[in-house]
Amino acid sequence: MTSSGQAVLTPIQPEKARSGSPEALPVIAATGLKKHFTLGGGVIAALLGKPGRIVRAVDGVDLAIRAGEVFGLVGESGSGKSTLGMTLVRLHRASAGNIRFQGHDITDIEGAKLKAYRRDAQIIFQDPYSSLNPRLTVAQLVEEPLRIHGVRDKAERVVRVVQALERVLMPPAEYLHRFPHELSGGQRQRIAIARAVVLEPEFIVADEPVSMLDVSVQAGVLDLLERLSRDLKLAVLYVSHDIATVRYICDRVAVMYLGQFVEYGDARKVTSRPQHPYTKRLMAAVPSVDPTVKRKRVERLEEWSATGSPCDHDGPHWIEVGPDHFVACHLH
Amino acid sequence: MAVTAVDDAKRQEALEIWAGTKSKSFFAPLLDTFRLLVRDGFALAGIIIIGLFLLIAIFADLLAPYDPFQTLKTAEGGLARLQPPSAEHWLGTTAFAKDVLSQLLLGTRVAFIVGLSAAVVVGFVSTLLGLVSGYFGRFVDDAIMRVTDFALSIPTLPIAIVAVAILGPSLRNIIIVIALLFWRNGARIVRSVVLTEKEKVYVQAARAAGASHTYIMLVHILPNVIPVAFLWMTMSIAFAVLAEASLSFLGLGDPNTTSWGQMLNIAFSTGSIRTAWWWVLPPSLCLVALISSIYVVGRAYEEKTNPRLRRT
Amino acid sequence: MSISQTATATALVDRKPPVHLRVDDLRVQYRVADGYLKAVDGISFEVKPGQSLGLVGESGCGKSTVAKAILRLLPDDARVDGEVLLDGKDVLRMSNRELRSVRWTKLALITQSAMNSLDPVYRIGDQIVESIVAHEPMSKQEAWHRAEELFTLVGIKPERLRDYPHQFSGGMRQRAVIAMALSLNAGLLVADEPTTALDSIMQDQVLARISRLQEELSRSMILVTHDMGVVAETCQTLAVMYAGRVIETGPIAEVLTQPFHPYTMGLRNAFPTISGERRQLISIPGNLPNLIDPPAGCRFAARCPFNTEHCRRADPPLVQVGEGHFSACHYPEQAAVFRARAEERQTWNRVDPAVATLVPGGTG
Repeated sequence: MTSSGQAVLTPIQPEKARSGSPEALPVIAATGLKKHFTLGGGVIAALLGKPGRIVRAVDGVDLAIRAGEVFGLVGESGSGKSTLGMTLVRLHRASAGNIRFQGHDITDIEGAKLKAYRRDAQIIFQDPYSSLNPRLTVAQLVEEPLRIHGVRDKAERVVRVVQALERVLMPPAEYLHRFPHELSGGQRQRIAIARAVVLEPEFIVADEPVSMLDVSVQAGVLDLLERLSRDLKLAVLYVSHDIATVRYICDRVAVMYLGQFVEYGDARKVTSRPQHPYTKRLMAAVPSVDPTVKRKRVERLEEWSATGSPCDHDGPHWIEVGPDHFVACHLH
Repeated sequence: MAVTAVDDAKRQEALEIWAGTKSKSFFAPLLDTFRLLVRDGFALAGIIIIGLFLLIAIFADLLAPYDPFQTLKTAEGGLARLQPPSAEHWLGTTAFAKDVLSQLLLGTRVAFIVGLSAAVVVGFVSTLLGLVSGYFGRFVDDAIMRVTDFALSIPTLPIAIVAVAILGPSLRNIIIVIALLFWRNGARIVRSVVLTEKEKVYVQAARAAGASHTYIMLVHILPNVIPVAFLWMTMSIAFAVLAEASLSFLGLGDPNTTSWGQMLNIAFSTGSIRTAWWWVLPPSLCLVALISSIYVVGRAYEEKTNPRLRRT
Repeated sequence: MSISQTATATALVDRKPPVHLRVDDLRVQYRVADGYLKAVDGISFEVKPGQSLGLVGESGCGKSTVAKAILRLLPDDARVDGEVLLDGKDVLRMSNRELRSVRWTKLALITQSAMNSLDPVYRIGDQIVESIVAHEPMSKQEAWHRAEELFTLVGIKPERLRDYPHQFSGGMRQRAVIAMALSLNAGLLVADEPTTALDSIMQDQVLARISRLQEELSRSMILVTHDMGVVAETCQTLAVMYAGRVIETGPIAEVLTQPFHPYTMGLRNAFPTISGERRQLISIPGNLPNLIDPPAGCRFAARCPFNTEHCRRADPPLVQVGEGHFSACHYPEQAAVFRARAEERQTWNRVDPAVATLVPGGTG
């Protein structure tokens, strides 16, 4: 890396892990990751000479997350953040680029290898009201991943389920036999988290886990995620549109716009001294609970449009504006 | 994948907690549905009527006073043709001197055999095709649905007539033909439910957890498909009974059995349909009663399981 | 589009006088299988002309029910008691004809699921024009023009008026509904989570525009939301609801900087901030109490870290604790102590979860 201020082409270089371990191998890493969707295509349309529209949900992303790290991904709807999370757990197939898990390339694996990966990478969805099958009890829901991955010994499964529920602070004796409709949103998310950790994975994508919860319970769920990440040495990708919660639990953060990162680095630095105009705008849009703070409201109503890059290379180039703080090259 | 060791004390504790939690019995949802159904007056009446018919069908042998094919003689020695209801023959006799009541009672059996067999086959085929088509989508879906569309374009009764005429009129053939015709709509209905279920977030969650297609279909999708499939099956019973009656009425029924449709067929072809009301009315009323009851129960069931249809 | 252009548009609509709303002891009960669910149990507040009131609380506390009750949009099996006085006339007792003349012209509503309330078979522009023309002596052309100006206000290109609802994204539909609600310049806008479906940047812009418009034209607003940040910046008065009651109300700066009710303190400390040092975020354990058979004493007692025997037995009334500031707690004199302790996480962790966590009541 050259001295700060000069544009460089670099994949994200992980800093030393927060826990102090010197090993720099990330749990999950992606290079040049792209995911494009074709809308409206089809045999007939193609025959008529009308190819479908291409939606570039993820358009060239480099990423690395280490064990025990909570990596935040901020962006508005349409930024591609959820798609990125789902692609990393192989719910989508990447269109280009590669994904490496513990050093192994998992971009195109199938069959037994894919199933093995699914044991180590889990996802928590946004909507606690539809992510749990309403016909199954809590016990069955948390047990399911164990069954799917062939943990045959019933006693073994029982022990793991009870352990998982205790980890998420839901006393098993009280909740094992309950159905999802008997639980509140916060409790359901805890069950979803229990499901995610029962197999003791290494990587978890949390896709807006608290967006649909009341604020009074958000903190509890967020703390749980952070604690689990530390205790179980999990790499967590925390996807959110709410930059305030991202700031709260994340070690590092990346701001995403139209399928690409525009700024990334240490969470505190990026949120307190944003450099990219989009990040600045995002930070400025968060209402403040402190009524004595008179925030400058921006009334200009243009739909935020991408600022073109005057740099002479293709794709975003990273300017190091501080230790572990990078901004994509952009027009001032 | 890291595995945290669990010591025996904790293991024991966990097993105890698990054992101590109560869980709903397997039959609980069925009982709940039943309880819901009986609250509706129509459904209750329907269930009772169907129950009565079922009992008659089972015990028809014991209940029938005569053999339905036995030619009966009068006291004078002549054939007891077209006799109006009397003490010996509660519903009178047919033009061929057979007891109407006995025929009626045994006809119940045919109705149920045809109805239930056809419904089971229809249910199975519809569910299988609808599930596979809806779940896998794209080519499989296209292929199956185009076949279904083609099959749907064939009019039901005419093809039934042709098929039975070719295969020969027997109860077995009638069941086969009915089953081959009723799966079409059933498959579409099941498929549309599957399409909705497939998009549910918990299905995605199961996929993310590594579940195979078979697992997802059986554990997550099928339970929501079964109520719909079941509903279609009950409707199929009604349609099957009606189809059999129609085929019999048109002369394509199994001549070795006596069904309600057969009774009407023979009454018609002997020209007694206007005069022998004791012969014509009972099977007609039975057909109406059975089919209406099935329909009403099916309707109430649908209303209870699909909250959006509730009148309140 | 500048404010002066909005004023021109407004001139097309009669310059409507500001309205005054007073809600007195409002009660709403739903008939459920096990009895009556008291969703709203005695709420009183006042919204002066040109003022904005923020109504905050957890889901299930009854705030959406209050919004619907004011416009008489509750289902038939809901029992509504009390008074809703709009410029002195009780909305709850109006005839259907009077109600129709009042809706849209004096009272406008934006509901939570508003984006789903657009008719899919008509163009959006037609729907807006239809509602304008039904209430105002305007030609369709003039109404369309007004609709165009409103779309510009909420940040949608006016040409999109010719589109159908399915061609809009969720966020755009929400903004279209907001535009529709503003179309008749009603004196009081009741907005139930109007911007939750919008991205933060869009939410910021739309709210800023609405606030300015309200201020310039002396429009009143009741903003129902769970987002305290939005309320802090948009409203002058705050009413905090819990389990069907208002448990604290007052000028917003005061209520947020010097809350008197432990629930308000908890809620305040559950919100993450983006400025300053990372504060400990707290979570309020437990759930809302059973609203069919509410507990005898203070409804928040089970989840309150400061509860006493007295709290569990006696229901605290709203008492004045400052200028225009009321709180329903037995111990207002301890507020300063409570505030200090409410900032620490372990204060809230000491609440017994077994007692606090009851199976959610009928509102779910």
